Amino acid sequence: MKIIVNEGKTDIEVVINCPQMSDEIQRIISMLNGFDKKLLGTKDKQKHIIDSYDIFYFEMVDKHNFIYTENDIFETVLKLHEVEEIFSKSGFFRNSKSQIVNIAKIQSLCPDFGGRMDLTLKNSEKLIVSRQYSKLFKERLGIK
Amino acid sequence: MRKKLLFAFRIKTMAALVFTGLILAYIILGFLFSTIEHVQFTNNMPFIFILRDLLLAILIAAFWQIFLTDFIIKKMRYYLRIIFFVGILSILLFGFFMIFYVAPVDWAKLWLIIAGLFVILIAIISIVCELYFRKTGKRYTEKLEEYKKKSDI
Repeated sequence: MKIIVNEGKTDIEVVINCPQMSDEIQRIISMLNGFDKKLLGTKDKQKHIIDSYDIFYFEMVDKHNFIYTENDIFETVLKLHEVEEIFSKSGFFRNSKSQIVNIAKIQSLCPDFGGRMDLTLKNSEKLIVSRQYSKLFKERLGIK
Repeated sequence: MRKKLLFAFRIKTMAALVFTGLILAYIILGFLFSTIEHVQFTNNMPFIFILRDLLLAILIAAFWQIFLTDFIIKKMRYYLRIIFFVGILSILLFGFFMIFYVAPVDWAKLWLIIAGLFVILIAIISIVCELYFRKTGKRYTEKLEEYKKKSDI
């Protein structure tokens, strides 16, 4: 992949020249959108631009990654570690090996047995923070 | 699917705790009972006994998750949950006692003591845990809101 940077422009513009659209290109687009706090998601073979503010959480199921909004589910080509890299500083947190949650969408927290934590989202959906990530989550929120 | 998995996961964790509690109760009370009543208590535990305890622990854990959390029953006053749970737990323990342990009559008193104490203990633990989790959960949620304000998210 060749990257050309032309300085001295007024706006940032990214043009992708490619033989055809592929998963790799979609991933690049999603990552670029991520910097703009937007993501590319697919639902019923239709592409949608999703604002990160609308995302409740990301989840990996059978090696496919999904974006959950209040009422919709979109597939994304981004891998969870890429999502984590892009969004961890935008209020997202890895709550388990297969999920990354938007902290802004958490309504309440409750500790659970075994060092885990229950999360109730604003759409009443429940997720858990696994024991592995619970300590980091508490540190992030300043819970002692 | 996720809800079912989460439910099964919670039952697994809870069943492990209850199973440990049952085994410990048997060992400690068995030892005390044999000392007081001057009867023989061996430290051997039949395999079938462990399987029965495992089944009992899974059932208790399932009823715990159904009645003492808002996972299945969303809205119910906590004292009603406790009443239902303790009622079912008593029936469950009595049922197990009648089905599996009715033969050794000389140990009947021990099993009744264990069952009674277990019901009381579970009720106390569930109340204490609920109060602790509610209080801690409230503190965590307050910290979460503080974090949201501070981070402007």
